[in-house]
Amino acid sequence: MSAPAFRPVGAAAEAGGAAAASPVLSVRGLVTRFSTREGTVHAVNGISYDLGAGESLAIVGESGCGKTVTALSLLGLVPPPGRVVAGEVILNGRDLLQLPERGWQTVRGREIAMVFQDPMTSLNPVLTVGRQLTEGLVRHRGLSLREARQEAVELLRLVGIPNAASRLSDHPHHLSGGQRQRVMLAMAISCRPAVLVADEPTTALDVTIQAQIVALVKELQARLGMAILWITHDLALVAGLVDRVAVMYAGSFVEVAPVRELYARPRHPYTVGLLRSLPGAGGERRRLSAIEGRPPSLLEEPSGCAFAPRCPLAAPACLSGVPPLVEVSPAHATACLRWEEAGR
Amino acid sequence: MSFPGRPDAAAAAPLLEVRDLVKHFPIQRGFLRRGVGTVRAVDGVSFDVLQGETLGLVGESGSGKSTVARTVLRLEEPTSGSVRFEGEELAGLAGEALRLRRRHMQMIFQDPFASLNPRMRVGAIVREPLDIHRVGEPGERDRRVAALLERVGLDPRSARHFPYQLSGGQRQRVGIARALATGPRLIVADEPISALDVSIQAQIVNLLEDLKDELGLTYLLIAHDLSMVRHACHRVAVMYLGRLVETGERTDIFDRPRHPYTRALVSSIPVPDPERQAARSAIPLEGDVPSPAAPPPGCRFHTRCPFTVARCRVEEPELREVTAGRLVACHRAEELA
Repeated sequence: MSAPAFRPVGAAAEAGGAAAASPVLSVRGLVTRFSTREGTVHAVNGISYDLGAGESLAIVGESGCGKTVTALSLLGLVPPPGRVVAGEVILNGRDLLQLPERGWQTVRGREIAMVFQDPMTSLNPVLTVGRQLTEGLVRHRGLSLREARQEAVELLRLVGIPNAASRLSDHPHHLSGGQRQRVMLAMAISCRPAVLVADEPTTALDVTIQAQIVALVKELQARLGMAILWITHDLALVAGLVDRVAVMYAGSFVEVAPVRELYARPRHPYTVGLLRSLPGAGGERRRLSAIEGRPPSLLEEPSGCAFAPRCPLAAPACLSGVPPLVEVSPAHATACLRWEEAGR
Repeated sequence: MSFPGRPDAAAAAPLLEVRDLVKHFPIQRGFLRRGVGTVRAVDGVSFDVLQGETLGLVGESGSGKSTVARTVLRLEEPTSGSVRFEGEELAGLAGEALRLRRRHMQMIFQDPFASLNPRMRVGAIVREPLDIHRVGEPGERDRRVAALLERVGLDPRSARHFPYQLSGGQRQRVGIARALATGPRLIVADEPISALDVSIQAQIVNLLEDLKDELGLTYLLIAHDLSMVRHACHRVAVMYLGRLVETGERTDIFDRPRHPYTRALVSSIPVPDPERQAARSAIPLEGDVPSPAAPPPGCRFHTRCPFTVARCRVEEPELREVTAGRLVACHRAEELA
């Protein structure tokens, strides 16, 4: 599968111009599949995007759309029976998909790091916070144990953990959900990665804690100049969070746009449907417009637009061939043949 | 302000009256299950749900909102306090008398997969409450099941399916059909959409609103998704650590919150609009919610409140009316307005 001609341009690039010239992360034609007894699950069907240094991009989609598999593919963490079958993931000029497993260990955590939805499943419950934090510092940054402990305290302070020094000897179960996510962030940024992948890191948290973590990630991003790939289902959350948004449906990007542009002028009927199904921002009382039906099974490779069966604009042409992602205005791309009629 | 489907607030009689509701759970340790403490999940909560309205009960994890729901329906035995449904006290009821009452108060659960018996077919799941409550003639019940399934937007033929064969949205529709089977007047919905995908959430919210208008239902909606509560509720009650901190009309709570906790909560709601999001700023709350096993003395919110004064640390504020129809539990409600 070849990469589409469209090259998304980052918001960071709009501001400075330099980032687009050499993106820190460049994904081309990524295809990930799972071979199961029921058949082949087409989780990711050839997606391409660039991420500029310091830029933030959100991949937004519903459960089963392939957004998490997209993220795991970047880090070589797709669980069996899944496999990346095509594409390139170019980070700092190297194609990660060509790396041997040993090569991954110098990349993962060091150049690209990930935080997950549930920190309790990614923290080791029997090791202290200090032990888990210092391990990466010793291995990746070659610090002595003493230096690593000092750095760990610094990191915990940076992510806003009170009494950082005394928390090193705590186990994860001593911490609240919000504090665990802060520790995960401290581990993720400990080697100053160029790219941080955040997979729904606030979904399990309460709204006031979510606001704390979002503010923290934005602050860390600004301070450390990391690029962020934010994976989420929450269109309301990303509105105040990222530079650009990619909307994913059934394994493909259906729309990519700078954040303000996407909310003001959505050009894919699925994006329009998602935005209309949310309660209004101003609290005006109106009936929600639901998207009828449900997402398709990923067991069949789509032969046309995957959204067509639920789409109010669907026409016969939509079913003959997958619509390509094309740029319809600067930095705004949509995979809809009838994009001119789509809108809020 | 009036909404479709809701009678005039002044004229409406309370369908449900909750007074000084308390639910404590003992913390037991060791082989002898010795009591070593108490989780004060609900610690003196009073509110009314008016005939025909939707009351939203909101709060973060550990606030006790789900325990209120379960205690109101007597799925949990209250430690103390009174719950009156249509004027009748439920606290002392047991056995047959409680069963008769329950017919008119039903619950919709968060996770439709966990709340539906995986070994039963959809038809049997929806029919079960009809058999238990002996609704209609046994021979007619299957026809009633088909009508219920159709009413919640399911193909009546799905009666033959097992829950695992349905999507999350369809399973929640089954949960709703089951709750409706006995012809309830009050529905307590505990996070009915939070396990569902965004595009499906709106379908279920619309269905609940249609059913309410059509069948004259009253809802007590427990939710943490505040934008959905704002959409769906007439009045809102905000809980923090087992206590109510503020209750009022939807617009009062969301547009002019008075309690510092409500303010922080409302300001933290993500808004699906980048322009608006950039223009507002969340009121940050320091720290985490304290444990309900050891709530702080005085005002339970004082450890995180930006407006704490000496009095807040020692004296627990009463929930009192500060403007018409709005109750706030804060010593400084007037000066902070």
